[in-house]
Amino acid sequence: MKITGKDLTRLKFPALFFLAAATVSVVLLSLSSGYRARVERELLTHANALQEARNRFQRSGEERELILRYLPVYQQLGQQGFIGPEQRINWLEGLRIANAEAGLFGVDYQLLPQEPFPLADKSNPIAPRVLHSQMNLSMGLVHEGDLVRFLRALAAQQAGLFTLTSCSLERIGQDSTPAPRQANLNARCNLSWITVSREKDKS
Amino acid sequence: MKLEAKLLLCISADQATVASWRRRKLAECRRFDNDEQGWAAFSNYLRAARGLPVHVMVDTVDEDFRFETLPHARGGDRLEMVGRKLKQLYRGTPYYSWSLQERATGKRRDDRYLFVALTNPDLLAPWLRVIESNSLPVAGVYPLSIVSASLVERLRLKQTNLLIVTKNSAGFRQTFFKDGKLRISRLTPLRESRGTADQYYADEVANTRMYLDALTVTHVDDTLAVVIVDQDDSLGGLPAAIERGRPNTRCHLLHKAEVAARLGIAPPDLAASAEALHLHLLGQQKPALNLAPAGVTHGYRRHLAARLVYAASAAALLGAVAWSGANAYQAMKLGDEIGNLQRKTLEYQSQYQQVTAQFPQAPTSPDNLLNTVEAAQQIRAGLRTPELLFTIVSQALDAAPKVQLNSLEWHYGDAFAELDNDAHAADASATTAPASGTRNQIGVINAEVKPFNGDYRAAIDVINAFAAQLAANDMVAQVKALQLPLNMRSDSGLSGSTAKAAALSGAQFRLAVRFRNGV
Repeated sequence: MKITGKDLTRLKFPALFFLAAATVSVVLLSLSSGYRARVERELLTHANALQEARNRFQRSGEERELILRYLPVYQQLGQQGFIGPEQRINWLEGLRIANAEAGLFGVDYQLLPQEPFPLADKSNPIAPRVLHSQMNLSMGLVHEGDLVRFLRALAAQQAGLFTLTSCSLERIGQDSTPAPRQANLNARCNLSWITVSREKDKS
Repeated sequence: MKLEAKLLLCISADQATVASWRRRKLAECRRFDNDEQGWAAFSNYLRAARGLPVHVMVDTVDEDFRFETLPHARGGDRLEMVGRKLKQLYRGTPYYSWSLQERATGKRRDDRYLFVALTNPDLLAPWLRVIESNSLPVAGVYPLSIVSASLVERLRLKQTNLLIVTKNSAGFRQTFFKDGKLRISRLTPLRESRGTADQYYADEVANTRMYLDALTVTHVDDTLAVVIVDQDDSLGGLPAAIERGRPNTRCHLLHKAEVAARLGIAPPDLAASAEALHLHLLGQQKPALNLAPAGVTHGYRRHLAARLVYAASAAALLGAVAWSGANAYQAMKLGDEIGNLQRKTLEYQSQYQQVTAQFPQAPTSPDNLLNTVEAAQQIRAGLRTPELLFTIVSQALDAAPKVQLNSLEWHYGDAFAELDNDAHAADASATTAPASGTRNQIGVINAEVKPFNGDYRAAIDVINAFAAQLAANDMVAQVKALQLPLNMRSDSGLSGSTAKAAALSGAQFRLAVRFRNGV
């Protein structure tokens, strides 16, 4: 069929009608499909919420057991400064007392800024909230036993939770026999004071 | 498309009859004379029928039916050959068509065609001009006899030699079918006088019979079935008149009421015009042969294209509406389901609130309590001090008085891999390497063999004994020499002086101690 200008003129209105119908069809399909997809997503969300509510209700007995079992320990950890903001005064106070109890000649310290604790157990959901501040200690010792006593005394203060990462002892002078009441060894230790930040919303 | 409204036009030499076809029924049969006034009136009539396609039927003597035998051909060859033949036969008219009827029984199996033409295009011209001026599409042009062919099927006529006789405005029409296929058609003038008309028409039938015999389409002894479609009950005496003239002729007269009943035409419609019967047949079924050239039906093809576009638009719209309706229905059902889920969730939450109201007050969730306590326990359990290293080194030093300790390092972590890079000497004891990622206690001992007189062999024996003493402890997994007094590796150079060696104060070395996992 040979298309003429007259044909095009006559087919203009049908073509416009088709265009309008196609546009309306696409809009209708798009809107209705979008609406249905949104409702399906809502359904999924509500189904998950129901599942969660059901599980939570079914686990309420376990939750009670968990609270009874772990709340005292949790509260004790809170008192020790493990939960919430860092208790740096407590740490320094602990250093001071441990130094005195171990009979050292004084402990030099350097505390670095707080950052995420890299050795936190990643399988624990609160791992992202476990933070640490590295503390570098330097002290003089009569003999190596002083360091052990100092660390025991520091732990006994319960000024916070810490973990020791390294220590080094270096002889001061060339004498193989240590002299009494003077620092024969220089000790350097790195430890991490660890805290857990509070969760923003109580789940 | 059968429900589509259309205009049906029957053109004869003196007049044209038009009717509209709506909902499978004829309506408004109007007759127009074939003159200026008639054409003008026809034009006025068409103005009210804007957009309807026009199907044109022609009842005229200016028609030609030829039964031709041509060599067998197919596809484009057949079209070319038939087209050439048609142009030879019908030079003066564009209104012609053809249909393949059968294959010849001879050896060549030639094709036998029916060629049909309207030989006087001037008859159509004024009417088509009026139609064109009113911008109505012409769907087709059909000879009345071709339209009559549908009677064979509608009336279930199965006779081998069948002559259908009708009486229209244009004349007395005889259409002959051989084995159900149209062969010839004749139109003769009407005879008004009732008394002599039957015999006159009977004579015409006899003439037709003789013509058929002459063409050897029928044999003189063959029985001819004559079906008289008497749409106005004016041919009641014709069967007897025919059968008197030719004994081997069997006539069957269909009265007006029978015609109306068997063809499904309302009696008032049938009475509206002499052409009503054929207009009705044309409305019901599009004839197989269309004689209109492409130029005449161009507007109709455009009309069909427009309707196709409208139909596609409507289908798309309907599909979209149906699909959207299904989506909306599904969404409503899902909405109901959401309502149920929300209600159940609220019930569980309410029950949970009631249960937990009796719990001790906790600053955080039970899971968080558990996780926090476990994290603290893990940190506490991971606390190590260098006390064990001090003990083991002290015991080893007691057993090796020639070894003097210079410095001691302790690490708790994954530092052994780094120490490996520093180690160039042979292992003092062989053990398995720690699993990656686990934390181990590592000790690094910097010491010297003193006094040292330059006897490297003796010094290394002392170091090996010291390392063996360290490795003897069950908690030690591995002792590795990081540095020896003398680098004995073949891939590195070595220089020194035996005189200087004697003056050295001690043979310095460096050992790494790795504790077992979990220690």
